[in-house]
Amino acid sequence: MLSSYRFAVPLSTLLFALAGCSTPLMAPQSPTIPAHQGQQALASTADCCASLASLPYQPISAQETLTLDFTPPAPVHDFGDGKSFFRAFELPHNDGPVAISVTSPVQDGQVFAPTILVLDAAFQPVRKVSSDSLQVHRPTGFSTARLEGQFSLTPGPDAQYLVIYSSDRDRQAATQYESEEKAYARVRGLAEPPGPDPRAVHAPTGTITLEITARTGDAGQTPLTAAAPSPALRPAPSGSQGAPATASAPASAAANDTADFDYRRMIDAALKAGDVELALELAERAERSGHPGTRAWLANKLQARKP
Amino acid sequence: MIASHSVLRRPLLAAVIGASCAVPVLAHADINPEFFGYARSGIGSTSGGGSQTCFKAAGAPAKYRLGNECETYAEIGLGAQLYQQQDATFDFASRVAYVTAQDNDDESLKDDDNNVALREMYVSGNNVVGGLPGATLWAGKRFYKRHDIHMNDYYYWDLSGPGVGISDIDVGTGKLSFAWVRSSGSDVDYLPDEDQRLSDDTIDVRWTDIPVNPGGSLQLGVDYGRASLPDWQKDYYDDRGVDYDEGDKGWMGTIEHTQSGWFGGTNTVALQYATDGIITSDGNAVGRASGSLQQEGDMWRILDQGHVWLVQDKLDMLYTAIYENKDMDDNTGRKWFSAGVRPVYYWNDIMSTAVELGYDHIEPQSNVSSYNDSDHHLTKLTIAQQWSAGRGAMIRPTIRLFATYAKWNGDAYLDRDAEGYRQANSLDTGAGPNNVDFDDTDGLTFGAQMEVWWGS
Repeated sequence: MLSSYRFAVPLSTLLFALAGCSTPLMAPQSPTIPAHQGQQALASTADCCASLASLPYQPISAQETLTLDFTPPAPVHDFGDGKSFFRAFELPHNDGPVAISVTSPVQDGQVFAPTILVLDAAFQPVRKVSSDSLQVHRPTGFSTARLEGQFSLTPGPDAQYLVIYSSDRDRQAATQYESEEKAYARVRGLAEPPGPDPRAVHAPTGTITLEITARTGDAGQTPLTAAAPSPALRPAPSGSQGAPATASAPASAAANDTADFDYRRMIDAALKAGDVELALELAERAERSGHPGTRAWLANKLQARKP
Repeated sequence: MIASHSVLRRPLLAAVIGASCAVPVLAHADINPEFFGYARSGIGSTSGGGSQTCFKAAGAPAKYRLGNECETYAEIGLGAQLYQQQDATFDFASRVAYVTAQDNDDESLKDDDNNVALREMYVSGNNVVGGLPGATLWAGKRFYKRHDIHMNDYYYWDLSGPGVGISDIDVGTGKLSFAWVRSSGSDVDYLPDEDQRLSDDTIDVRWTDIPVNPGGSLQLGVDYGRASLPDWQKDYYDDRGVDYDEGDKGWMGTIEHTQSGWFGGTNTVALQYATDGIITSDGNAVGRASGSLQQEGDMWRILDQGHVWLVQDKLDMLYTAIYENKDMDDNTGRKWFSAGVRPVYYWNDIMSTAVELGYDHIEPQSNVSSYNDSDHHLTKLTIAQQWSAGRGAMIRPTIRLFATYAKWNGDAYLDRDAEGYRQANSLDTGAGPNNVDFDDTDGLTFGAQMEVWWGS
């Protein structure tokens, strides 16, 4: 009697606990491409675009978290300081200042060390954040070691596009970080485990998380001169390319013309880079932003491409 | 040795100049506090009634800890980098440790088993000594390069305490560290007042990070310790014919090899030899002068411990084996053999199942009277379901549910002494509540515990 009680409680507790087996909380990570294979893939991919102006820019809203693969079939361009897989974005219009956060995790001993390039409306570089100014974080529990950078900017004519790539200089460096064992020893006052810190090579391919957040979170921070309502008061921004509804009619028409042109140019660039998915997405966005006919125009182009 | 005045003076001068005009800047802008620490706490019961009993073989310096810890223990640390110019930095760190018996909500220091201890309070200056780039000058009380086995919470080389030192001097092949550390002992048998402590000094010299094979690194260390007696203490002992010359000093040597890239983890093997006054009479023998006046004998110890991945990301294991022979001239020593494994299976990123099997064997010398004076041994087996912030033996925080079974030979305790306390026989009485019966030879406990470490 006693002995059955003695075992019943802990065993039932454990059985109950075992029954709680759940699925992993994290989605499986995409497999890592070894650095030399990534290098081959990069070398064998043609430059998508003649200039910065013709990169396939993907519009983003002021409130988005994107997981970006810098692996084929991502487009490739030679940026002067290095040929690289890249992703290019058009920053939201009239949404006020935004905070941009870039996180590049170390996977299987390698990391994509990004340079973040900001271009003005004329596609001229105005700001460049290279990977050596990013912070290195040691692994903690779920999170692997990673490079992280945060900065803020106010999209507008002086800062309209964002490009993420990896320059030759980025790739020549490596990232060294404190191992979890060393961190534990430091925190507990133990002798430091011998051996060098782990080192991640800077690979030509990888995956990055890009997070963009509107900084005008409340009405009190909204610039007084803003013609548009505060982003917080609007429905979720759709990354609209068109002029705000409150703009005057002539301005709106002009903006529409430009926007129409921009969309078709960007779709062209996307097609040239072989990114049909992006082209379709751009066409959808154009339709939603008041440019009827873009979808049909794209369909014609795709038709024409077929033999 | 610290011939560094030229470089040392520069940052100090800068700091003095800075302090006169930049105090508000320092106070408000430059100090980023670092919050770090460690804690464990939980609840447990002994099957058959009563709170959790923790199973430790009497005379053993350690016990296997998974599902076998009966106290709340926490270290709360605060520190900050106070100064930085180019490579030169000054850092401050402090740490307070708390122990409570885990009995109650309001646990007071007035109660037995509860304690608050100031463990660290020190400043370290990195790259502040000219001609020794990379070296760290430090002073204050601190945990100094402690060597432990996590699985049984066993510290085998631990020179912690108030001290001063210069560490990690790059000598081309490896690094050299020197320290002077203070501990104290009380000789209640002779000194009239136990507050009249013996001051023990230990000098520690280490040569670490010596590369010997791919992924392998060697370290060598020597500790010399002695009780430093003022004239009045010497006179006191001379008057009573007490010989304090031999027992009050001793030395310990350590050779340790660590292999990384060992089945996805590490393996460490250490060999230690110690003499006379540096041998801790009970508990962990750490290489710190013990304060004993007449302790004579020697001790040697060999241990191996490590962490391996048996199946990457699915199954890992901590393991250890220890043999220690403490041969005291008055026959109060003992031989200790200990071995344990802790395999953990990871069901997913969060949930895991851990099993810990530990064995301790004690063979006392002939003059041991404070516990079971014949050979005795204890085996403990724990199964625990754990929820942790990731995969890996040292990943925390963890919340675990556990059941622990232990078996030993001989009666658990002896009858109560004159003060009404149980006395150790095969089981140690100081490891927590003693809720198995006097003549029991096994016991079962169950409960829950959290464990966490953190730091920036």
